[in-house]
Amino acid sequence: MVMVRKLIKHELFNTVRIAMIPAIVMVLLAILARIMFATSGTTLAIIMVVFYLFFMMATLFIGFWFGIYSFYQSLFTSTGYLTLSLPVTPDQLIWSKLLSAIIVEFASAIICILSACIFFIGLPVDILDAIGSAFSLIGDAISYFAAAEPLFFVELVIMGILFIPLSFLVFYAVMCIGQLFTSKNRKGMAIGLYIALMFVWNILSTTVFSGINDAMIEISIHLYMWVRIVFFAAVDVGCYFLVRYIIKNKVNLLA
Amino acid sequence: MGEYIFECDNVFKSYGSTLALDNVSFKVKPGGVVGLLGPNASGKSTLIKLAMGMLQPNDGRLLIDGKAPGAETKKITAYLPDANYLYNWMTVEQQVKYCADFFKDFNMEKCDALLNRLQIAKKQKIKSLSKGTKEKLGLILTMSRDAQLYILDEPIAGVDPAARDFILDTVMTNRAEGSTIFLCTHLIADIEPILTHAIFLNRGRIVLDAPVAEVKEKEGKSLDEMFREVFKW
Repeated sequence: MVMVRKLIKHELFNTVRIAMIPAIVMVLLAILARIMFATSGTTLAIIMVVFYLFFMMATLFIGFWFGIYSFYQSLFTSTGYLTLSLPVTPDQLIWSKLLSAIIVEFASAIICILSACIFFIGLPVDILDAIGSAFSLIGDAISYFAAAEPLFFVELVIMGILFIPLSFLVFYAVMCIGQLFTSKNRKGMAIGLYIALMFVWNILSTTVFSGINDAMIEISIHLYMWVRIVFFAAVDVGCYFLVRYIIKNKVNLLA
Repeated sequence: MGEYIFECDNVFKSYGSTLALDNVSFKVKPGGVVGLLGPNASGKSTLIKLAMGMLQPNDGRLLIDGKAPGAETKKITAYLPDANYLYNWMTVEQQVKYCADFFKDFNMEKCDALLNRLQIAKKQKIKSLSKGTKEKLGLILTMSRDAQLYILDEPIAGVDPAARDFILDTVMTNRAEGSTIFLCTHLIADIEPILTHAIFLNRGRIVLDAPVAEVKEKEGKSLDEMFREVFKW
């Protein structure tokens, strides 16, 4: 655990130094836009909002992308010699990368939400009350849904929990496979492999799986949900052990 | 520490149809400076990567202080690869702290003394250092550890004679007491004076495994002359 904590600490430092740049710009733009809404004309404020939304997308994207890029950089480029000579196991390396990436993505999402709240500062009380009522209605709807369909709600939560690491593990797996090739265009190989996988998956989803999904939903929505949960779990576990096997046995560091 | 710090027992390693290591066996006792010598593509780097747990042998076993390479053996092994392994975005100080954080045997006083000797400022970004200085920094970080085994892969390749002297001097004066140095190179003449044991590797096979003094006495030749003879084209 000590080593995992150290790895996460350094990984977070490496990622945050990059991910915080668009986040800071996003917050500053939110503040500027709010001030402009209050003082200048709405045209300039709207332009600021457009830029703000752009940097919000950038904050979310860069946080996600760097979580993947950092995995590749620290394991399969020349810094891999340092990473792989650390007194840590492949499991510790994978968990630290995965947890750090998930933490950064969550933090990015929270910062985005908090930055949106800047627009509420200084609004008239009646407007704030209306916004509060709207959020309260959404909360009530979720509570009602959770009470009416507790199993489905739990299934959705489980699927969400399984999907979060999956989104990183699939990339880790294709990068691990890509680095097996000795050619210098290993990143290109990994990207190509990912695109090919997504292409095949989309074809299968729309042809083979769509009929099966419809049949399952007809029988029971819970059957459909649990099949998907098992599928996500299997992909998570499969990708994890593939990554682990390649890091332990087949790292192809080019000097 | 066990009887042998580094053992190879009938190790085979292939990459597809290419046999990189062919039935390699040797045992290295603690202490001394061992030269793993051979031309390019002889299997030296493959052997080192196996020792560092970056690869697994197809057959046979490799032990570091009696244990299979892994997290435990990396605690006692300091490795200098034949590549710039530093994080370019870090400052020298950040890189030093990174290494010190993970390796309990990292000696900060030794590191500071070496950095001062080379006048490498801690606040400098690594990407702003010259190639030669980065290589020296990599060596400093490796030799700042009080490890039981130092594995140095081509530490003097591609550097000028003065830098070679500095590197070899740094290696010999900063190694932990009782430690073993495993030096991989094809530049024999420069390292011969410090070697105590030589292992010649050619096309994945051991062709010589003997103490340097024994080779000189028996063959009446220097290691460099032996190397030229064994690896003649």
